Amino acid sequence: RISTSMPHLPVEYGNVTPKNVGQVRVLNQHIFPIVYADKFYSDLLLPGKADLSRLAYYNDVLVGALCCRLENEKAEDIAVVDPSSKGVRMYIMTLGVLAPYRELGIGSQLLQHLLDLVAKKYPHLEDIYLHVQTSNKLALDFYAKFGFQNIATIPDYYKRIDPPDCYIVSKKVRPAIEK
Amino acid sequence: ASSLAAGCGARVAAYVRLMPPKQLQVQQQQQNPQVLPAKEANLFKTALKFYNGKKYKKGLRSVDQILVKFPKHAETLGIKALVLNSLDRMEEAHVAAREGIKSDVRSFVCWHALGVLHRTEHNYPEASKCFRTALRFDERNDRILRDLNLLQVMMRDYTGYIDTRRKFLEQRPSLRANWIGLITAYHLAGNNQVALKTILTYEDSIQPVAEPEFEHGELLLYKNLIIEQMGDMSAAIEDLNKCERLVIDKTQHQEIMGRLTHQAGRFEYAEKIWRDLIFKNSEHYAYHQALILTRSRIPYGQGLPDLKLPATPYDRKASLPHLNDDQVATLESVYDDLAGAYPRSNLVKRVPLTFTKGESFKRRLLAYIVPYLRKGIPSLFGDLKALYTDKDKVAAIEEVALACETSLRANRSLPLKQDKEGEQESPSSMLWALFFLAQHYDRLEQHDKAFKYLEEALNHTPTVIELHMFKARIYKHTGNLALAAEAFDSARKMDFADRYLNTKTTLYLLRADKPTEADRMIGLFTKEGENPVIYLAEMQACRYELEKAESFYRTGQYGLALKMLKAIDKHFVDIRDDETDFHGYCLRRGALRAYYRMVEFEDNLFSQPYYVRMAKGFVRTYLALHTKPAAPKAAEIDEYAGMSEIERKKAISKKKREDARKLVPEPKAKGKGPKGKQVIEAKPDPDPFGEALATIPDTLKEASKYITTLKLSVPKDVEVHILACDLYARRQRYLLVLNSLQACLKSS
Repeated sequence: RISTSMPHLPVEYGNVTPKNVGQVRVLNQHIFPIVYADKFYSDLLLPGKADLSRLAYYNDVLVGALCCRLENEKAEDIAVVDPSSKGVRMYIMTLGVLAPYRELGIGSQLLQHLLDLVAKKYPHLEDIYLHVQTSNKLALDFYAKFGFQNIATIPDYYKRIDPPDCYIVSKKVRPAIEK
Repeated sequence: ASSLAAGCGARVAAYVRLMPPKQLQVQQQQQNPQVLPAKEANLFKTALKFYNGKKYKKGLRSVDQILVKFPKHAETLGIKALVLNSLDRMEEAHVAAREGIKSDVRSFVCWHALGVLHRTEHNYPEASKCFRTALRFDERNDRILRDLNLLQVMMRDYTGYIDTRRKFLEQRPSLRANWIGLITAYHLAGNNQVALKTILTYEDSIQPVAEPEFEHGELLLYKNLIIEQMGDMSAAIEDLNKCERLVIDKTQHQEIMGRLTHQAGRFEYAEKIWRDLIFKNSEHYAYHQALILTRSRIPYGQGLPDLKLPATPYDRKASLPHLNDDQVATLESVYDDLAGAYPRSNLVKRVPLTFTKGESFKRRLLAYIVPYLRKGIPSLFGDLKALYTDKDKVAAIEEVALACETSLRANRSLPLKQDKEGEQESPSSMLWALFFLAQHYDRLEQHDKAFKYLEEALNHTPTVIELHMFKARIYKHTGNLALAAEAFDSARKMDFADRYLNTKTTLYLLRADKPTEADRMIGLFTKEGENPVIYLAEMQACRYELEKAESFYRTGQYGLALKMLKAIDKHFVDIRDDETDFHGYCLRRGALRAYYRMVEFEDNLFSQPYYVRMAKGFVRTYLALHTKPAAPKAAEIDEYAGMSEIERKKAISKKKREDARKLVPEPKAKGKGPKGKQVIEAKPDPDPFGEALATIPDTLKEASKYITTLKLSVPKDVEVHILACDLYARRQRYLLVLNSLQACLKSS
């Protein structure tokens, strides 16, 4: 049972493994309007990428997941249209919690964990960024709480959903280099 | 064959010692062709060494070397027969044995060898005859006596068995094992009185045992079992009291005492014992069942339906006899006290649900369910399933569950009075309540409602594997087997490391009549490098083979169905054969009561559910073949239906390649066998499609063999008699049909 005044759910965290990647797919398919391809999930399992995703369990049931990837690790990686970005960036691909388990701190814990990880292990990153559909006020407020800002807008980014436009929401990591 | 070696070896050694000079030797050899000169005698010794060391091919070579010069040497021929038997070359072995007997009809070696051959071929009566003949020529041969002894108990020839056991005892009365052997022989034969007398004689002959120790304690409990079986409860109780000090397994002793005193009608005394046992282990259901019966002063075995062995009235499956209101009230107060004494016991809260009624039941049910919903325990429904035989309880369960659902929807709380205010249930309580309701309605065969609840649960938290599993189950219940298999497969994909999901998916595939896919599926978890079908046959995976057989039957592939059923038949033959090891082992270990139960088990082998299902399968398949005899070619497989021409060709050629592979199953890598063990290669499958089985001339005769067995082993099974009616009608044995119809009426 949880307190109504300060809701907080006791959650355990884990990593994506070949064993549970099927569950992550079910989770994402349920939460997001976009269906991700098989490569999305097989990439999560690549060696060395284990800390880029994190799963949230409540009573051994998967209720939330965060999936990221590093971009511009090699120069060929094409980032999204943002002329100021040159260095390595952390891109949040999906961060979602099942509807009945929202507003209980799980999403915040997942994101905070990412911020802590970046501060500890990837302090050289330019920023952490993601795409948010323009109509998704809840998400925009959520990221704003953690110091993310809208830095650009991309019209017609989405092919099959409405509105098709999105914001690029970003949080700077390393201090700006003195020119 | 060590004694055999000793027997022959001694003779040979005797000859070797008295080795006369060469001329005399030649003379002697001409007079008596059974005497071997030095070189051959050594070869003989080597051959025996190889045989004992399981190096059969080398042994065969040595033996053949002797036979080059002395082709009629009986003992060598006998050894040759034994070696060939171990190499599974039975025809040659028989030839050798008979040759040996022809050259020397008094050769106990050859008679023994012939007996061993018959034993390998399961011809126990013939084997017994041969061993007896061998014993005529060498009465004190321990080895042959042991072989005969084992054979007698395998054949359940108790008269002979007791005879040979007595012989052992007479030879070495100081050996404990010989006493135990004779005692168990009498007991198995049903002669409890003499068995008891023998135990007492043995006890008098040994030093009194000072400390409790396992073997003697077991003997005492065994003695008690014998006394109990003779019917005198008070004598059994008295004996049990006397032996308490020396029995190591105190819990067992107490359980037996509780049962005996209950049987003797001493309810108060028995109740105390069962309470004490609950104190030791509050989660053992049998103890609670016994407590309920003794507390309510219900005689042991009253009002019980006819139970199969070895169940007792304390079995979870034994339903409670009817309790009047006073008894229920008494029990409720007993269990309220127990709940106070054992607050963390789950069973103490569950058991009252079996005997309470009305408002009391509802109240207790709610208190029981709420922690399950809170903790999110998936097995809630499974736990309460047993209550569904009672209509009133079903209505109450529904009421309580719906109340929980309503309350959770309204303000995310459960309808149970709580101490703390300002708290809500976690989101998952709703999920588990929905899941429970889905299972509830499914059980009541309201599948649409069940599906509705399940869909809502899936929408709530789609990552719970149990929900996906249950979806498949609902499909199965509505008869939608193909969808069920698909649904279970998607559940399986959520956790590839889960073997249970894999096995269940395989079984669902078999029910959906997709045997090839099922083989591939189960192959994901079988031993690497081995053909899954062969591996499962080695593991005696009867359930898998039965489901496969039944699937083939449904799709009309009778040959393949018969092939699978035959495989299961072989498993039971093997189980019966494996019994040989236990006669020695259990007695050596002193596990006498377990040994007795094992023999009972083997005696009732044909009433085992898998055997009954298999035998019925045989009968049904043969009846179907009688209606429509099998075509000479293998039947067309449905799996090609709905494919384009190219796909069909591809599938057929692929199957041909696979079948060719099946004909030569992967041989075990020789180098990898355990040291010193010669690996016998698997024989190629001579009948891959079961055609030989399907095209036998008189299918009905085969079927009636199985019917006869079933009628003896499960006489109360109506289905058996129905099949029998059908069978006899086709054979026009109308009196037997009448007989079977009467048996049907009697059993239903």
